[in-house]
Amino acid sequence: MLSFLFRILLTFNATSLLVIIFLIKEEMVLWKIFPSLCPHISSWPDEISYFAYIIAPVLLTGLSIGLSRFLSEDDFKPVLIPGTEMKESAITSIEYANNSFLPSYLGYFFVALSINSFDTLYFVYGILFVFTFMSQALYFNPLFLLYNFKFYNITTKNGSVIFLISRDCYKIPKNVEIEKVYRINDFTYIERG
Amino acid sequence: MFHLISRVKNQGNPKFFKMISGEEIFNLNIAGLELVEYSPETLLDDGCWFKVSNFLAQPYCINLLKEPFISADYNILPQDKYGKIAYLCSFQNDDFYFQKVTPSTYLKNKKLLRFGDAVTVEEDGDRLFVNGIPDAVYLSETNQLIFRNLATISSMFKGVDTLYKEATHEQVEEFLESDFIELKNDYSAGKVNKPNRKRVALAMDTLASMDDTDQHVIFDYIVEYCEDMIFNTGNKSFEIANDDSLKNLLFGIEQRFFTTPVGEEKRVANSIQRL
Repeated sequence: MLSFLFRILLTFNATSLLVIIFLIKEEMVLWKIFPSLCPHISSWPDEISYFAYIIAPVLLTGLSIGLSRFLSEDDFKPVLIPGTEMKESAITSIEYANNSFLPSYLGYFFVALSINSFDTLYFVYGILFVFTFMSQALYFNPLFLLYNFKFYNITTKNGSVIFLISRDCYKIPKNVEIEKVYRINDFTYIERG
Repeated sequence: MFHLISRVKNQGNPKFFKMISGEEIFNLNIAGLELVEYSPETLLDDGCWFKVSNFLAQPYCINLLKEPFISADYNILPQDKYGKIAYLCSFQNDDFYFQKVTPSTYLKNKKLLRFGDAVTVEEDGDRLFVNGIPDAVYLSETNQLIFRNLATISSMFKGVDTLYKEATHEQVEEFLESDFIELKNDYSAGKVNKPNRKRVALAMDTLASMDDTDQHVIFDYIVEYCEDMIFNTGNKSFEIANDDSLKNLLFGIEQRFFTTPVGEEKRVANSIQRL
């Protein structure tokens, strides 16, 4: 149940950009959405609302990084080669992947800018949310970059390809030696560092 | 880091799933064990375990042990497979500890009494009972599989039971039809007990390596040690009427009888280890 809620949170963080861009495009400030809650701040500049929209997923991303400590642990320490006494790095290749999400994020921008009504937003966002949640692949969101995280595609010695989120700057596979990583899902791991 | 994975029954691929990490599941002082190479003729003492050396090269070695262990290669065990676990494998300091899961260790909705501050009843959820002592351990450094009971581990390492030679019904029949055996009392292959079936398989191998002269030496040797055995000198055959007499014959073929150098006491070796 906990991991289910955690995945909902990650999905929301990863997809929230669509809603934010839409709200900004529609100039939908906070006091238009909640007129009764904040009558006295209606004179504030619109930018404050937009800032609040952006800061919310940033804080939630921070929360998700904090919560990841309760996830299942793994490690990428040198492994013993069977039948020998040699230990070799568990990683055979590492590829910097910070830019790989850009196309999908640009996609979010264009979709958000071309949505005309709230009804369309509900449906489009709903579909996007469900598919992101089910695919478990687009959990990575650019907000991690604000927390100094980097994205990598790594291949283990046995050939499985894993998406790693880490603060460290890895370049050479054999230098990747990680005491503890947390499993977001079977293909995505985060090193909290 | 310690990792616990499990093998799931009736599963396509993958067959192994990760359960948890960071917990030392089994606690066995391997340095304190005496290891003897597996032989069906050996019975284990306390604190003594069988070993199979050069295990990676054996046909019954599982693929899990043949590749480097990386926990991230295994998916998390999904909930619907909890009831289908065939065995546990705990990766601890480069060694692999195995425990077979049987219906008696997998507790399904059983009531358990929990002794905390007060006694409470726990009855929700399934539980898996972890034995302190594993059924088998693969020692990476020495490339050995160690275990106590071959029958227990035969479902985990398919084919390992070929180490345990038990004669088939046909082989027992063939053996009992040998020239040096004369069956009495309606004794037949169907009546041969399990330990004797095992001994028949071994004895057949031993006999195959002996010529006629050797066999006659063995027959004289059996007559010398087993006064109860009836040996017909005419057709050179032993009368076999029950499991006991068959056992004596088989022990004789394996040359299990001996005399102590001091005191000259006649003995039989119930279990043997080659020096």
